[in-house]
Amino acid sequence: MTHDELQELLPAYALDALPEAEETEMRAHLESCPSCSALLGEHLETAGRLALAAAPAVPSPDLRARVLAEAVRTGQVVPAAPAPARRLPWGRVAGLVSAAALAVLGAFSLAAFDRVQDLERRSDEQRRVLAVLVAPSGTFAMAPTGELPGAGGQVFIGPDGRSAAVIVTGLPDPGEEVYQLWLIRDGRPVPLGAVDPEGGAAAVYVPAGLRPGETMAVTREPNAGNTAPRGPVVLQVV
Amino acid sequence: MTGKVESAQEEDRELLLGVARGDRTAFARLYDRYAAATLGLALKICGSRTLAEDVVQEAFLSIWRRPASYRQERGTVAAYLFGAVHNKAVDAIRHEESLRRREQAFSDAPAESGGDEVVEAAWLAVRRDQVRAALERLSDVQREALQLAYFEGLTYSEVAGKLGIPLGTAKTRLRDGMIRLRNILSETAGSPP
Repeated sequence: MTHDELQELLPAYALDALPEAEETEMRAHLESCPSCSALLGEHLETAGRLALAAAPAVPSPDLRARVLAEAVRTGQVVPAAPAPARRLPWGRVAGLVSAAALAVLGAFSLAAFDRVQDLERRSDEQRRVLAVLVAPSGTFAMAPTGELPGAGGQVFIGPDGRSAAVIVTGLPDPGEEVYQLWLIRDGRPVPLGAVDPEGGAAAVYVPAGLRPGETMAVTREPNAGNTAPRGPVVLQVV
Repeated sequence: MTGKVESAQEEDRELLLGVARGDRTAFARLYDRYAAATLGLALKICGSRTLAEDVVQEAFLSIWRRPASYRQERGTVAAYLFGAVHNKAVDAIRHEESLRRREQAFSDAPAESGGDEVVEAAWLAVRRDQVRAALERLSDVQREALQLAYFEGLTYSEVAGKLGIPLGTAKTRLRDGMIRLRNILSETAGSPP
């Protein structure tokens, strides 16, 4: 199968819905394709959420005893040398992200991306941001409004066109207020979550692409959790 | 709720690190956190309590045996756990030999989950409500395809056969359904994707 055909089957693979031969081929492909591996992670998370649609069942005390007893009897297969929890040098990460992303990231203070470099402690959010930056399919610049002339940003669209990483810079501490990201679709704003800058910069993962006619903006809101923007726009896609 | 979810996920990672160090208390705590939810999933797929308990046991043991096969960059511990249980449950209902075990198990124990109230973490219960509501917002054909594949353990080609639709259509319904489900779950206020 071609790479694109395999990528189309990632959701089915996450659902354990591939016939055996295709499953084997997919497993082999994932060993050498980091972008498919990252995309698979998304679908595995969705499948994990789907699992909860089943009603919980009371396990018998007997089951607990059997499981724990077997652990006592069973050995473990662990790597010979445990991976040390250290921070990667910036150069290692630079090898993973595309040149376009790197140009924007280079404008940041590295402090903002320190957590991204520490693979041992990387949060789900930043893992998803990196997955987009590794193989973006497109990018859009964000320009500041008069509100915060020093701000800047870039939207990177993920490899499947249905996810994005939004990188912003030059955002001063909003104090009691909150920066919020919006998708403007059919003229209506859709909240995409808060933007929380550290050292003036932030990276937000968004599970949506940018279709023609849509745009994104960052506003500074008086409070969190608004369903429509009330504060001024500070950044928008040009 | 976001904070509770994040701290639960952080705790899960710590527990799995403990399992990787051979800490049986950490393993027991991980079991206690997810036993009811994973058994519920296995029961829904396998239909028999005996088979479902076997599946849960095998899944947890595989995590004990190979803790390093969890990769943090691939996702949360919960997704990994449910994935292991789901994979073994689907295996159990697919293979000939297991079919025989299943028939035997059916005659041993009824499928109902028991009348006792399940005690589980609030954040899991909220996630349950969220995904059930999200499923209702999928198109009928997407929801149907997901249910056949995920809860009845059909491959996408078996889904196509059962519904009398082309292979491509089955693949598309599953893919679009999963993407839509992911998007809806992320839209839910205060809930991380």
